[in-house]
Amino acid sequence: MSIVWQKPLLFVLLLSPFLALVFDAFSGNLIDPIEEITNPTGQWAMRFLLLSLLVSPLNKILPFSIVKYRRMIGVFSFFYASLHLSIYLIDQTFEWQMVLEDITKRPYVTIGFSAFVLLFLLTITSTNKMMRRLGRRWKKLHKLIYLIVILVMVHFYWQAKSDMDIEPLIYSFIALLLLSFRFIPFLKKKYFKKASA
Amino acid sequence: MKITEHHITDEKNYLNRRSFIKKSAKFGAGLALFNSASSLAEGVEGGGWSDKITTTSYGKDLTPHSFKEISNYNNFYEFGTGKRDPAKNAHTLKPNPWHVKISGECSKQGNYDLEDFIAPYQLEERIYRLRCVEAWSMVIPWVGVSLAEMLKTFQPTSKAKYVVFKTLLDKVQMPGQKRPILNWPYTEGLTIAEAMNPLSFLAVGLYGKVLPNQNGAPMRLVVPWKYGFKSIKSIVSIHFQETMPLNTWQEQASNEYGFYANVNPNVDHPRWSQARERVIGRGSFFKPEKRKTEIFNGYGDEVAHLYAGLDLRKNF
Repeated sequence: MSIVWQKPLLFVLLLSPFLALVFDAFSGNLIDPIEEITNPTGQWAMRFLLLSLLVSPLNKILPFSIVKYRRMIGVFSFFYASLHLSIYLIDQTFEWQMVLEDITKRPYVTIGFSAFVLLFLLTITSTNKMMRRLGRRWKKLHKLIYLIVILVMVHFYWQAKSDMDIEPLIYSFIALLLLSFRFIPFLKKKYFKKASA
Repeated sequence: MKITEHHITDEKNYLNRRSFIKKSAKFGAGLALFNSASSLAEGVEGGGWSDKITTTSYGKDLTPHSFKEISNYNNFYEFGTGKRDPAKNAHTLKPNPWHVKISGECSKQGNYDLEDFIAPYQLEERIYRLRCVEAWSMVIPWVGVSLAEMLKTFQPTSKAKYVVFKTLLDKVQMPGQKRPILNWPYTEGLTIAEAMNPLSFLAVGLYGKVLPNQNGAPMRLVVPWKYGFKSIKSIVSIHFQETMPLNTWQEQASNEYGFYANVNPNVDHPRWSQARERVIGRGSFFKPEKRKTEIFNGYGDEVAHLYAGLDLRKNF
């Protein structure tokens, strides 16, 4: 397959959960659109966030580079997070007083909203222009993704009604695995440096 | 006979039929619901129940949600934690035959066949509002019997201060119980005064038909002034006791769910406001219908006296 088609193909794949939701919404299949769109959009935002974290470890073992796809995955994660937040705002009938109260009073909303703001920050600085402008600081800034993942996991875990709900446990395990790919080499390096000094 | 889609009464016909039921009820009053073991599942439409149910004034001004909404949007973790899971998975439940065990502080303990259990009582239709603790609501036309009438039969003793209900424990029929999501079996309790309140109801049907499995077949509690999770489904045990029981959600998270769980817009759930509720399926996509949540879900006239002098903020 020609290389030209790879990015558009990925675009369509990442967009397909959205298309499925639009189809559901218009076909009258949804009984409670608020809940039945809030949950999947949040989950897709989280899945694509984790997928974007998978790119670099996978890149190390693949014979070809896939780093060029990471940005699109990350931006799509933000896209689904925006839908997730929008549905929440619709459910609050845009009563800002109540929204503000939720954000300040309810820890799982606070955490989720913080993750959204950070992800927004990373999205607007994801263009080539911003990469050039920020230079070395760009990489530092985009390390925030690790914090975002942790926030998202806490948000997911706290919204669940049972500690034994399996989904947050599965996703947290995957997140932990993906984070350990980064932090174990980082800690090793640090330890090694100290030992040799 | 299995209940299939074409047996479901169209809601418009259903609503028209209610006036018919009202008339025929005069003649049908006192008739037993279950004449034989098979009648529970058979003859649901037509000559089955309609002439055996009396309508009541409960909720006569409310517009019930559709059968599709009521039977496809359920919290019943025994069949999965998603709202659609129970409708998808509850076919494994076998509500017939069914036994209910009566035990504890009463003089007529025993194991009862559901048919015998329900037969002596008048079937009533009551349209109640259901307010879920998750801040959404529906209106449901239940069919069932008065809980108070039923409990009196078992002659609770003076030590019977609380009534404890348990759901079936069976990993084959209820595959959700394979995982320790909650401490199975699901357990709920009421004070004896709450249980004896005229509003308390044991539902065996909705929309004039036997309960769909996902709605708690064959028999469930309905206490409309409390959050939905108090209305325990698929009951196999009713136990009278002197001490306050720990219900399943209280055991799960006592900071979020109390024993009483009365609907109260002034006491928020720690994770969300209880001031309003989303009325399922009403309003438009961008403007879902919201309703101001009422204290005791609007049933204060009937039940507020039960909690006189009780700090509802502490006893949530």
